[in-house]
Amino acid sequence: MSKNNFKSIYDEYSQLVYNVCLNYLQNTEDAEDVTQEVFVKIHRKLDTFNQQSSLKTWVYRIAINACLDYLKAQKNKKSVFFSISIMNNINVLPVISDFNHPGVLLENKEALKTLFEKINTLPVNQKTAIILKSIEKLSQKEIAETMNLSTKAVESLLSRARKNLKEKLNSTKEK
Amino acid sequence: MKNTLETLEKIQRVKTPPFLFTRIEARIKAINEEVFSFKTIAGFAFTVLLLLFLNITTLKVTNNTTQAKTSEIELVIQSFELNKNNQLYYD
Repeated sequence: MSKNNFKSIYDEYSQLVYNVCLNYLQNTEDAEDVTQEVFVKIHRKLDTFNQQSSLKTWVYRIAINACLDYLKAQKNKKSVFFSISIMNNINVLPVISDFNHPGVLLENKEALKTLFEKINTLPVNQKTAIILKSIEKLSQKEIAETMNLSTKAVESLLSRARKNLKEKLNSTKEK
Repeated sequence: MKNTLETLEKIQRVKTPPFLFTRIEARIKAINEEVFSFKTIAGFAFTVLLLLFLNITTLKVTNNTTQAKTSEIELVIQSFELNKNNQLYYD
């Protein structure tokens, strides 16, 4: 695919990418940064896109990987900061980005904030599966293609994610 | 649990922020400007290697010629039984 198509790809998928990033990072500034990163990557890799998967799946994959890279980088930054603060004997907790999701209505904000806090503690592939299924409303086949798994694997991943999430929510209620 | 997950479905789609494309274009342009192309780097490396090779070859050739010249002179000195010493006066 040629780089001349870049603008049309942006027009078609920018909203999708921005929303995936928002659902993954739950912060507008972080989501905007990662969306920019995603389209820079798409621009760079457009010549190598081999059309074995659909363009939408390819874009989803790049977006999810970019979000994961961003979270990993943030985590590393925080752990370095945290270890320095421990070495200096300063009682400072790692900084967590504020929950700032413009797609969440005010009446659901508290419930969704709690839910996202639990989703964020799930293993990465379970979190991805939940986001793609429940928020992005992708079919199991589409999730399987995006995550490079079989549909059966996605099914079991989703059931494990729901089970884990239920346990985490119940333990919060008990407290 | 089903109800809890249903709240996720209430999340609305959000429009992309304005001027995002302009910012992406600027970022791509900045990356293109700061990164040397593979061809430029390969060309530079090839030139450096070529210069090194020429230098080493020239040094080797010059060394061999000097050694050959020295040995020829020594042969003449030996055959004419000349004194190698540069001192003109003897004590």
